Amino acid sequence: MNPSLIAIWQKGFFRAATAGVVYVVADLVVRLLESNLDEIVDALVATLHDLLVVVAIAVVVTVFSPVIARVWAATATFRAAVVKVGAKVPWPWVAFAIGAIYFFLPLAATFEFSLRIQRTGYSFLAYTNVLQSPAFQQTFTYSILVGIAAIVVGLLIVVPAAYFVRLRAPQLRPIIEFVTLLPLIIPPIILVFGYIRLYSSSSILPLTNSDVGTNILLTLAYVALAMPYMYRAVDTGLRTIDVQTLTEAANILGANTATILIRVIFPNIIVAVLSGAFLTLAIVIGEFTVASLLNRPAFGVYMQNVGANRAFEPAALAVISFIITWAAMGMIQLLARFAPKTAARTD
Amino acid sequence: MEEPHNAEFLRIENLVKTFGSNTVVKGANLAVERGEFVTLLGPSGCGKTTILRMIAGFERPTSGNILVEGKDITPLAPNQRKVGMVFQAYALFPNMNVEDNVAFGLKIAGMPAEQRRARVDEMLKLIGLTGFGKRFPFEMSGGQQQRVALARALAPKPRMLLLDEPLSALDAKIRVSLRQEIRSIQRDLGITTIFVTHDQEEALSISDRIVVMSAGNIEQFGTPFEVYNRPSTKFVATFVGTLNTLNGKIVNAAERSVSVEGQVFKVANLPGGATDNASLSLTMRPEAVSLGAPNGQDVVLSGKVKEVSFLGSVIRLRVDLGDNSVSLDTFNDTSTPPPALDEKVTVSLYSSDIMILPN
Repeated sequence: MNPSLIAIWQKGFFRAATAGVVYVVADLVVRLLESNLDEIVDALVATLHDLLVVVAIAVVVTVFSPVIARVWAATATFRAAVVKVGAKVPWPWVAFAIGAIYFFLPLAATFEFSLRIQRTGYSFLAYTNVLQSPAFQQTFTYSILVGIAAIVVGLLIVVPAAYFVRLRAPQLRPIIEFVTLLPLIIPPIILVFGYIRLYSSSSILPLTNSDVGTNILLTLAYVALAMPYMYRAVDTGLRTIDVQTLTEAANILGANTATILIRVIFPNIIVAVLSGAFLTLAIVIGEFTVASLLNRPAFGVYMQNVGANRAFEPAALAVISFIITWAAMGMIQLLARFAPKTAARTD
Repeated sequence: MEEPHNAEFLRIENLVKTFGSNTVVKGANLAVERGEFVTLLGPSGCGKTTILRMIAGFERPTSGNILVEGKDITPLAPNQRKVGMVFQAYALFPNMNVEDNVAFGLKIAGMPAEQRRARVDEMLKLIGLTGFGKRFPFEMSGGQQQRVALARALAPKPRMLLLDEPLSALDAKIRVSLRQEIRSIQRDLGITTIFVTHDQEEALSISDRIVVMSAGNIEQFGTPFEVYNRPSTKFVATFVGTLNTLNGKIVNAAERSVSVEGQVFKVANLPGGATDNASLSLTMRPEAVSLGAPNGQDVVLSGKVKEVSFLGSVIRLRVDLGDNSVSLDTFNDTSTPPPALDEKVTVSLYSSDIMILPN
């Protein structure tokens, strides 16, 4: 018998036993803190019982550890064989296959279902219905327009903010990053109720009184929801260029801050900006909560509406919206190839 | 055409810069003539780059003034100063090709397209990159990029050129050729230039005058000849070039005789107030020391060869004189092989080449 193997087993057992004792004692302390006398007695008895169990397990493991070690040693050939076979399995592909099934199976099922609107066989009738419906066209156009507005407003806020933070106040970066993450923490429903309270008809700025005002409110809500993605995308873009030196180089050549932002900084982070823009669009296209509560004719609301009243069309819509999102992601990948290449940095 | 010299162009008065509790520049005074090539030389953290950045306008002086042609430019923003600058990291705009990079300052200044094109062509010719106009920075080597950066800085005809370690990122061969090119372009244009480097060889070879800096202070301001041969402080002597330091003792102050490791010789002069038996440091350049005494030098010392470094045209030897050692350069004479290790040799020098520096 290999003595070192026994030592390993005993060490392992000792650790397990220690953990067990720590747990039992901690459990006791917690119970004592919130108990009256009877319960304390009960707790002490229970703890004694637990400790006995731990000790019993300890004894059994210690007694049998040579046996366990022997079994472990005896199965060496078998285990080696298993490992050998395991090495031949392309594990990354197995993991990928599991992931792919997890993601694609529901989608494939949805797609298959969307084709079964006619009893006679597969057809694209559900898609034709959806695409020809005026409500689809109107809400889709509306959401795209709001999305574009949200992108423009978001960029006007985020690009100068991220630029100045990098250039003048790098110590503020963690704070700004936290602020931009807030929309992920605060649910949209809270956001929209806050908006309604702040901008309803009885407020100083009654934006909800008019369609234009409500559209503005919706756009601003989307700017907030897209902020985490937009800020990160732009900040990553800024990281790939030497912001300070480029700014100084342009500055000493006579350029003012606006010119530097428009002519030097923006063109060099355009790909990052576009990826932020497409992410924003993907979020806006499917958003339901805010649009619904502000009573806007948005695509998300339309999807929900169709989903509640039809059987096959929602499946078709789901597939369509997936294709739109993927197209947006594909655009990001495609645009990355046309990025202005950065010269090797020397610092 | 070179502008007439002896006309003061840039004046720096009592310039101080403090970052928090750290004073980086401690009251610098400097007067640079028109068309002069002045180098700020010093180890990293000595404040040379900070001075350059204050001239450019990127840093605001804590106190003191910067005057160009008699006018105080301290309150001006960088884009109002009409100076050109080249950065260590090239800082070419990655989204623009060479032409657009060079034309950037001209476009900002509102120069019409046709004149702009002519000026860009002229600049590309100046830096020897005609035909490279449509290339993007990432398609060029470091040396080419830095030349484009130089053209970009010079295109709007700035009144002064600032170079912030422009050669440090390049490899050794390009560094030498580009520094000669920069110097010849600077001479042709007669543009007043401030150059920052930590490389003393670069500073010596390129400058009209050198400002040697240490820990925020200007140690010496003089021509390369003065700075190298007549360093005014021990820091300058050790930072610029290689220096031998021998620890000795005054034997007889009146006779100006000193001893190093028991070997007695006379020096040209001693600091005022020197007394017998006081210890002192004697310094000399390696090239002032010769092997043997070929020309009847008046100081002859004997020692043992401890190191032989073959540098090509020159052979550098280190000779031990006991606890002190002295480095010396001899030319590589094809007919005479260098001395062997541990060989006993005599070394000699003129007493006038010995510098006794204040600590």
